[in-house]
Amino acid sequence: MTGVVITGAGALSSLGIGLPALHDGLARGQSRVAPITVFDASSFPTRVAAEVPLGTIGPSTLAGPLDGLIAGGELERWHARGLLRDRKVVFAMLAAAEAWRQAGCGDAEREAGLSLAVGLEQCFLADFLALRSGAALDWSRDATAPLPEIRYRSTVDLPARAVEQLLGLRGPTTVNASACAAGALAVAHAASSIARGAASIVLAGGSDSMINPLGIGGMSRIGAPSPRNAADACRPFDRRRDGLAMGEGAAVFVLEDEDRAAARGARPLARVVGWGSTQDGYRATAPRPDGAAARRAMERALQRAGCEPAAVGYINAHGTGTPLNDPAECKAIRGALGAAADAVPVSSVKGAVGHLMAASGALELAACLLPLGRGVLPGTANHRERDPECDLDIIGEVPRAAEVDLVLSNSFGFGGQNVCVALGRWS
Amino acid sequence: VKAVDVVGCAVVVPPYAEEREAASAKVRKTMSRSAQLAAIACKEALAAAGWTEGRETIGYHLGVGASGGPLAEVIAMFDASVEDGALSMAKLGDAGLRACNPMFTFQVLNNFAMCHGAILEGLGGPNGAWFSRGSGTVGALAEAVHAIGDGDCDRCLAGGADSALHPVTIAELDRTGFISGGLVPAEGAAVLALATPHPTLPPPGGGKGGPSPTDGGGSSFSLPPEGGGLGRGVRPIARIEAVKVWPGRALPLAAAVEAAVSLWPAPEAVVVTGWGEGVKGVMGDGVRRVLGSGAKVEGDGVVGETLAAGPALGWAKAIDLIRAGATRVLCLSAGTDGDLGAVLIGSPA
Repeated sequence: MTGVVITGAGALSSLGIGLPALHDGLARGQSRVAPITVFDASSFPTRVAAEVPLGTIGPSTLAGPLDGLIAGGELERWHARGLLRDRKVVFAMLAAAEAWRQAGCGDAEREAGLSLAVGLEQCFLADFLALRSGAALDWSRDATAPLPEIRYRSTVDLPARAVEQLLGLRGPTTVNASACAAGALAVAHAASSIARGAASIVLAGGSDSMINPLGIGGMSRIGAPSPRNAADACRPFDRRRDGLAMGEGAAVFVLEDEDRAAARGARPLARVVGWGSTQDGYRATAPRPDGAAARRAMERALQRAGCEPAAVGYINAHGTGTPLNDPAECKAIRGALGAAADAVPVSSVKGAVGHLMAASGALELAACLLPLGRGVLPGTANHRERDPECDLDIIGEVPRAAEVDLVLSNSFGFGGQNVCVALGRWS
Repeated sequence: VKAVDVVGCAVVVPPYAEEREAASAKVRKTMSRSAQLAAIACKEALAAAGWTEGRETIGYHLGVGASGGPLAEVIAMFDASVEDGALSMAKLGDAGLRACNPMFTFQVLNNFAMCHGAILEGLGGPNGAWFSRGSGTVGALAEAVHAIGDGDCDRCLAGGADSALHPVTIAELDRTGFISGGLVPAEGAAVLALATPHPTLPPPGGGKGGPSPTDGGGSSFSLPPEGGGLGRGVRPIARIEAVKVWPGRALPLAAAVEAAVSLWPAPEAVVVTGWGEGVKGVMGDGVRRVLGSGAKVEGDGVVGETLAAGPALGWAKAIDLIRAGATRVLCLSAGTDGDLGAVLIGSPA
């Protein structure tokens, strides 16, 4: 099997634009969950979220960051077609561009494949006004409706197609739609392709935003977000936890065959050494309380990495801050690591940046580059009261200094999909 | 890829009998059409393979389409949110949300087309929901084959499920010229049960007999399980020999078809699935340029276009041909992204 390394990374979250903003924010113990500004959420049950600080998005938002990658006037054409209506399209392009540049990619890297995790299509409810005929919708009006090409809903793969075009990628594109497990699965898929020799370079990651009326509204209806609408809405592993905070953003990595990266002089940020996925097969609305399936995903990731549990230096937990997830995840960690579990620091960044849904696994892998690169373990924002049901070494709000060689990142999706990815230090 | 055995196959194309439903009426209220179809195919593929035990280790990779939540829920929300002819955020956040079934979220999440089946059947192995315009479903099959080859599991389901019978989807297909080009929106699902190659069983002699997967609008079949219903004990009905995707940005479709047909030993038949007759015509012409004008080119046997389900229905058709005596069938699938997916299915002999 070929070694797989990360040679570039890009990220956007509520802590800022770019991977350094994420790492700086986490290293300082910052968090940013605040009242929703991208639409008027004042009547909604959920009124806070972790927004990417980009404000209203348009061609001008992208012109600077994408300078040199996209022809003049092209962004205006995309905007006119409605391609930029869905924030996750923009996030994907910005994260991919950052990763591309950091990895020093050029024409030779356009052979790369793309493995991107995306969330649910965004529904543009106001578009239906153009079809309204009394109490019904008249679909015959669609052809002449004064709406952009992307109407009613964005297409699932729009972020991936935008990245393909932006960077001129010619390799296969894979779009993972596995909800909150998708980001990590997309990276695992890319690593697997490289490890078995099917590809030598793949851009992989995830992009999502559900901070829109139906995204926020839909999640509110199923009771997933904290009802408190406070800056500390998400309190992972805390005894008082009562739900998640909605987030948005993206993270994209350049994954390469280790030999390919060395040949072109790229400097790896980390190794992707293991991954595993399982299904709860339990309920649509709740994780397995015993964490058994999640445990097997972690065990498989360690097995693939060829590492013993004692080698794990840090675990970035899925840690949603919901009553059911966190204790089940602790059982999974304890089951997978056995006696070594007590000595492994665990934290969740969801208190700081919210739950990025399909992008969460990718963003949290980007967070895992912080301990491997700077020797800082991210803290768990808003974790103040220990819960006996979460009896692990949970890092509190203050980040912790530590030199680690192997980190695990857990991602568990609505519907019971579990994935664990292991990153190792590159040296 | 390392070859894997196909030990079960299930196809669901409406209309189908009520008793085939995999979920109760109550649970179906949380399911999209794609999820309902996939759940039936999942259940029947497991039954066909005789996989009644050890389901916590069985994997499942599915090609899925756009979210298929009922538009009635959106319209109810919309109607409760309009004020003076405009959409009111103030009303949407209150009366609008209350007008909508809280389970609507589970209907629209794309991955639930796969997850509902996994939950209903207790599957616990490696898994993924892969968005597909055609080749994505081939990618899902590749993931399943690799999961077995890499040792993540020794049994895995793979397939596709989708419904084009959604007003927004139909409007998109119409606006982009597919409907006027002859595309008939349809829906369906097909799932294969894959297992590590059987080490000891003699070849099944062509696997003739039994119901066909594409007869009568959908049924499931398999030869009798042996050895306790586990993967290695089930007599294979076909073998996945190769899976490959050609990106449309690297190679035009016609050239990709020629590359695919030339890559492996000549198949006895080629099953083509794609969005509309135009695409299928390009694929058929490419096949004939390589194999000659007498080449046997078939569709998936389903009336209409089932989008993400199409490639999997094509595999079922190929298995049908193998059961009828063919030894090697090539399945080609293309979608609107221009990518071409190819799956070479052979006789287990």
